[in-house]
Amino acid sequence: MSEADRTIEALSLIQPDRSIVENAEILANHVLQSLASTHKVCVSMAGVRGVSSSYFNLLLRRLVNAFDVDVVQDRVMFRFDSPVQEQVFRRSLEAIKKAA
Amino acid sequence: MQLSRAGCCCGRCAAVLEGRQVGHCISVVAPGKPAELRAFWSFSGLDRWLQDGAEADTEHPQNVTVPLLQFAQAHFLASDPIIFLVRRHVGLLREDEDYLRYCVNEVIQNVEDHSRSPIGAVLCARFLQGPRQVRVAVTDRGVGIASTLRKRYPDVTNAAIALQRVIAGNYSARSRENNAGLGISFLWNAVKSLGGTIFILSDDAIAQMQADGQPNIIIRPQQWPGTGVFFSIPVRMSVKENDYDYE
Repeated sequence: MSEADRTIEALSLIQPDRSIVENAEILANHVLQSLASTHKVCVSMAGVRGVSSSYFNLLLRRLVNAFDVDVVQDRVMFRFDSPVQEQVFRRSLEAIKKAA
Repeated sequence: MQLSRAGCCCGRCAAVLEGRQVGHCISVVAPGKPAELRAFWSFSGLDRWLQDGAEADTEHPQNVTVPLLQFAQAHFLASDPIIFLVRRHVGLLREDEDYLRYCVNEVIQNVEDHSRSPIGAVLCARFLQGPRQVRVAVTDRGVGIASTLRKRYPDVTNAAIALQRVIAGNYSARSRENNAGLGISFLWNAVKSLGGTIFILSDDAIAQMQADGQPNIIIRPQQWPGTGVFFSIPVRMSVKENDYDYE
């Protein structure tokens, strides 16, 4: 995958007083807005701790509702901060692909 | 050390835990009031999971425990008290912290999404110095896993089947957009891979992790109105204690 045109720092969007799912919605909206103006977007999960599967489920579902799974995989890259983040993401992605 | 079985809603858990804590100095904060919370503390099995028969230390009650905390919403800060609890005792590897936060958040997200519990849920935790283990309990008074799954899978006729399905994964009531049927399954596997142990109690069934990591699901004579998740995770020794960059 080539370099992304824009990097979104997920941590900078986290609002601790909002629920995990609401935070996923905020990130999803941000990614969708960025995809409207740039071709490739990188989402950096640096510093985000304790993401549950719901966080990635909602984020990916919102993206897949707007674009095909293949398009999402081509245009959105994720940079993970820990093995658990990546494992949870991979499993969410598989489930979203199955459901698509 | 003998555990009191009187009024126990979860004799299986008590039996497994029996005798493990000999020699550990522990202190526990049990809720004094309101009376309903105190009753819940005993009835749910939280006292046995966390207190294990030990006397409470009134001088430093929060040194080794996270007192009972009631919540209704899953948010990123929910796991903070548990992380701070462990950090008071040992250097916490970042990977361990991530797993611990993940496990806590996965459980509380399930409560928010599925339980329909009138009281939300309660969370508490304890750090065991000797085995360097953190124990977490989250219980609710909701509709139970079977009732939730049955909306989408009519063949889920009892709690044992429901537990079997959610632990295997890919069974979701899809109560909300963020559900994919992965939470409990991945939680189970995360605890297993970390060398911990887990019990999930729902209605009249309990799933207990066996030595090989597979669930042993049994039916109990008692009915627990809701769901309880009890897990323990060992905390590894960091290269240098307290070397974590606390933010």
